[in-house]
Amino acid sequence: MALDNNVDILSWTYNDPAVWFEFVMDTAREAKKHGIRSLFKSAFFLSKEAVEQLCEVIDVFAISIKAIDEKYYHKFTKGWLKPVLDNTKIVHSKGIHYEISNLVVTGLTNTTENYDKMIDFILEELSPDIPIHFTRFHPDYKYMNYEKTPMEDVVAARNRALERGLRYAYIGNAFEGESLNSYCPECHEMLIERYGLHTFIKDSLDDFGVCTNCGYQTTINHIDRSLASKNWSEEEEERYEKI
Amino acid sequence: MKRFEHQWTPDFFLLHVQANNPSGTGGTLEIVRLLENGQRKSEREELKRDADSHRFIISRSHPLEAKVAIEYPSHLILEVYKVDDRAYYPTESFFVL
Repeated sequence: MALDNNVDILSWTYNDPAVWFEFVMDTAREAKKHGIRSLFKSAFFLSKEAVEQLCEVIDVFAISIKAIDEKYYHKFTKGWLKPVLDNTKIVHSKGIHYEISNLVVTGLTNTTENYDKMIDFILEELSPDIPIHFTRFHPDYKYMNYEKTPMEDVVAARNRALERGLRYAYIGNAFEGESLNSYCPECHEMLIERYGLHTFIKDSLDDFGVCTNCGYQTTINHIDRSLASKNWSEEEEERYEKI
Repeated sequence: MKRFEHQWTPDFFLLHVQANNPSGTGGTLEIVRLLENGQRKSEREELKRDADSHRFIISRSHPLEAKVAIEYPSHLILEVYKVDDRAYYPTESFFVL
């Protein structure tokens, strides 16, 4: 199906792909033979051995760290924090591309203290080049008593991350605003603009991930301009008709 | 033909659409996005013959996009859900026809 539809990356998510680990391994391995990449989005509560196996076949990891707080993990996830952090370090040590997301839950983790703990972990144990996404929570299933995370909270988290030295910080489950975009860490030129599920790759980002405004080498890679327009004018010209 | 129309509001950017195929005939859904400045964009989704259903996400795609409309064959049944997260599988629709 992926080959028939020219899919070049499989995204393993919802449910957490840890629950069908063997299927993911078999399929990702087979997909790789055909040039199809795999992305693994997970809470990453796995054994070290499982992560080592995944690293052989997965091209991108999206790691969801709920909070840098052992009590939070025990209370809300029934798991514990240390394996998640250790596994993240394993992926980091292998040079595989990964990004971290933190679900900002109203009433629980929408605090500066939580944001700082996440930022500290990345700065001290990983790298300021690792992208972090502060994602809005929405009420669902058994957690209906809290409101959707206010935009101000995730924007504040993202700004805090940038102020403290992380180079790529974003908000998630949000669909407009500058906090979705990618900027040059050096000169702050916009490199990639996002709106809804649309992406615009600007001329300010060359095919090697270099900012053409100041020459800074970003860590943005696998740039495929065929999947995106440059700007709204181009988008409107190509896809919209006047009536 | 039947028609669904939705006016975008600031609180939701995403619609999860499921087209059901009880007769097994399939069909084409025409999706039209209407901008405030008079422009429009058309897209299609195909529900294959013999498929039980077809699901897809519609995201608001332009800052000026005011409405989205779906026209579809009368023998199909459309269910539409508002979602906050494109990867989320919703269970409570706000439109069924």
